[in-house]
Amino acid sequence: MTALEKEIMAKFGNNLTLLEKDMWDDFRLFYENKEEYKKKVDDMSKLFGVTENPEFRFKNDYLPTYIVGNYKDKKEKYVVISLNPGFKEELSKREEEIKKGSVDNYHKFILEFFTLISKIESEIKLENKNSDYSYYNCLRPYLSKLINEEIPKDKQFDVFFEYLINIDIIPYPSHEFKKTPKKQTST
Amino acid sequence: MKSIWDFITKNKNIKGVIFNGSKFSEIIKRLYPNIVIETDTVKGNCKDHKIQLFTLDGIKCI
Repeated sequence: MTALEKEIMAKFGNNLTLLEKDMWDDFRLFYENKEEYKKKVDDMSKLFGVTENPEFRFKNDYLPTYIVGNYKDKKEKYVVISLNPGFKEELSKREEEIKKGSVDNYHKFILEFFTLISKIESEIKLENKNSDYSYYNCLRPYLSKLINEEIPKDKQFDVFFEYLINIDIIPYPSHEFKKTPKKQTST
Repeated sequence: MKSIWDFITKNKNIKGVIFNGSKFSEIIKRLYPNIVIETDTVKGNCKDHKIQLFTLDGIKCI
C-alpha cells in the first residue's frame, strides 16, 4: 500500500461509495503514475475520436473532477449529472491551484466548490477578465422551481452550496464536448 | 453509471437528479457498449428509492 493510499484510507476509511473510490483511485494515479494517468485520459479521447482536436480532447494534465458540492451535509440535495467539466483557461488554472498538492486540498475543493468558484468569479471580475461560470447560470431558474425559492443571481452560489451536487460522467475537462460522428457505412 | 447510481442511492438526502444534457443515452452507449439496461436501472432507482428524475427540458420522473 502506498503512502497516499494509506492517507486516504486513514481519512475516509472503508465507507466510500464506488464513485468516491474511483475518484480517489484516479487522484492517486495522477500523483503516483503520471504517465499512466495521461494514457488513461488519452484513451478516453480516443474512445470519442477527439484525439486530434485540442478543443475537444480531454486534458490529461489536470486533476479529474468526479463530484463537486457539499455532499457530506445531510440536508436535502439535488444532483446534476453532466458529461464532463468544461475547461476555461482562466478559471480552470485557478481551480487547479486550489485542489492540487494534497488529499486535504482536493477534498476541500470538492466540498466547498461553489463557495470557491464564487470567489474565483469575483476575482476575475475585479481583474476585468472575461470569463465566468455561465454553465451554472442555466441551473439557477431550474433549481429555484425545485426548492420553491427565488434565487437572486448574486446569491446563486450560496444556494448551490446548500442544495447542489454536480457529478460528471467523464471526470476529465475539455474546452467543449463533442464526439466525432461515426463513419458512414455503405449499404 | 454504476458508481454514480451507487453514490446516489447511498446518499439518502438526495431528492432529485437532473440530467444536464440531451445526448446522454448516446454517450452512455459509447462508454458502456455492453450495458443496455440503463433505462431499467433508472426506473428501478426511481421507484425503489423514491428519487425524482428530472431533465433540463422540464420536470420528468422516468
